[in-house]
Amino acid sequence: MIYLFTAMYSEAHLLIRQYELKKETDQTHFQVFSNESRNMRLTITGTGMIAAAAAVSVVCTKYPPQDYDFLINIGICAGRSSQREPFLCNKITEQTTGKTFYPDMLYRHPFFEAQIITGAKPFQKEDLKQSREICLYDMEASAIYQSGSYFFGPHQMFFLKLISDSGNFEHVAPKQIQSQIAANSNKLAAFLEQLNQIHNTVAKITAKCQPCQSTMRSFYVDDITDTLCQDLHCSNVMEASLRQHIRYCILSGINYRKVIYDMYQEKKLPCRDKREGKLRFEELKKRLL
Amino acid sequence: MKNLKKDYYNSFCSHIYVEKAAMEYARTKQILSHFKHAEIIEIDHYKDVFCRRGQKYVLQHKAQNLILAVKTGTLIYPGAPVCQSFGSDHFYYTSCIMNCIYDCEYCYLKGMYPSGNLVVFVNLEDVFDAVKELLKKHPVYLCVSYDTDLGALASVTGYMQEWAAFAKEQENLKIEIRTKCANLPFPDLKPSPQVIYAFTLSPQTVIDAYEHGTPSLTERIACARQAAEDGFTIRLCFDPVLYCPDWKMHYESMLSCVFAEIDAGKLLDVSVGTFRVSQDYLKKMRKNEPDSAVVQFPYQNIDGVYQYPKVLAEEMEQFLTEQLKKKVPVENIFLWKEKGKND
Repeated sequence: MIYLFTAMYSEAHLLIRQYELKKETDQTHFQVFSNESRNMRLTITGTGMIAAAAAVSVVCTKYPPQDYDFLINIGICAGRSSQREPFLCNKITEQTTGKTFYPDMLYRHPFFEAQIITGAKPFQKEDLKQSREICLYDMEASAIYQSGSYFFGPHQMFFLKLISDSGNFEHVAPKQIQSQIAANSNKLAAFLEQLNQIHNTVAKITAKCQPCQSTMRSFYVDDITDTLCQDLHCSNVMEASLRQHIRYCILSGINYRKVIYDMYQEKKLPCRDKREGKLRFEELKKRLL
Repeated sequence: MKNLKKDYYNSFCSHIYVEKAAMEYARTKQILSHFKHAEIIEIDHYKDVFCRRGQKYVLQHKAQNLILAVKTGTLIYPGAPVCQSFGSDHFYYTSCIMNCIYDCEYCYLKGMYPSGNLVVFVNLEDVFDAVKELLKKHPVYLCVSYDTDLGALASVTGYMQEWAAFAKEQENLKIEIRTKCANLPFPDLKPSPQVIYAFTLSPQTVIDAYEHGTPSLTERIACARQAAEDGFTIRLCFDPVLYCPDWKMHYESMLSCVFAEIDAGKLLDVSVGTFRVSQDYLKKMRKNEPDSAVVQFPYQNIDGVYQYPKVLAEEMEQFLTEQLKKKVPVENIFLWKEKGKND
């Protein structure tokens, strides 16, 4: 699932249409739109840090993200550059505290990169620093990062920003925001598609692993070790050790089932009592390795 | 994650984080010159990036980034009990680079560090000064390539060459540069008894299974042989010795390859040590590498250190030692024993 967060409806408008997101009617505090088949859930947080943090927290608590899900914050920002293409933020600074946050930059992407400063109120022209490097200004990114980091790792969070103004936000009309996002829709769509592919690949690997590895592994581990534990009169420590041995045997391709079967054939299992169980447990461990 | 298309990931060092304090160091500029297309991000402190919550080192290793920083506080540490002192009374180590470009599944760095990114401390002179201070008190045996592989990063950082040159000038200093690299800058170096180049060797089966991205056994042997022939002080480290089915056969065959190529008489010494790792590190490694056989082996926890069951460890050590004794004088074979236990 890709969790999209925008501050305003005008930033979300195109995405809602493009990905055929449907409004979730049971959400009252924030507007949430989703499309399970497209693997997307979009939330309109409202402007400002507290609203943004609250929205991330509410949505991610209700729909807990998996290890292979992504959080994307898309929105407009202020900046001195005339560049109107999206920027991917590699550094986020919270203006009020001076704290900095760094999303991992693991994946290839088609965007420019820049750092962003998040403030509590709209930036004015005189607030924008004159610097050699492009610096962006918004009101949500640092809050979304901090709130998001309770649910996502730094490699799962992305902050995409488009410069809409240079400190005169009140003159930016919703239509202008919509058309700016529409003008970059191809790039945004390509990136979202890439993330979806990464998501699907990892999810598929995990799912594929389930029957042949993880689930089977836990099946064997649970099935055989449960019986073995009973037959060996295992203590908790012995049981943990036994599970670890079997886990290792599966990973190393050691035929542990034959070893166990042989011990049953030799009438060494099941054991009469704890004392015998301890002796047989030691023997089993030796025979497994 | 193994099947993810390589194309999705950024290239090695696509992003370089530079501490403000490190920005003006000549060494910073020299290192950055190797990565002309990298995105440079200024940071306040390396821990702001290196110690972030929720990092996945398994993923970060696929697109490793670099952090350039200035090291403060303790610069030289007493040798850890899980490391070999080679009979030295004053055994220390230093970390001028944290993390490694190689991706060995069993590496303790994966349990020790919260990140898979590399940190290079650019104030090497401060470390040299700390060593000089220590040398005023007593001789020093210093391992400079424990928390990284200096050899693998030699062409980028030049630290291996700088350490070699520094050690040569210091009386009573002996350094060990441990590496799995097979492309060391020996033409730029001069042999010295004070600089020990320690090659970690493993059977090719172990390299294929667990030591991702490292040179093959043949390449490592060739590099060690050439260095030994050129008069460099060479140590061979069979450490960690790892258990795998048919381990005897694999280690025996490795040793015959090694001594078919390398004249044992030209070696300073060899070391043998079975795998051991602190319990806290292994706990983290097991969580992050659920499908790694070497990490999931049912080790025994002995006083906070996970290691092979005593009988197996002794069998492995004895087997290797007996094999080595055929080629190397017994006094030149060092075996890892936890301090105070086997002394």
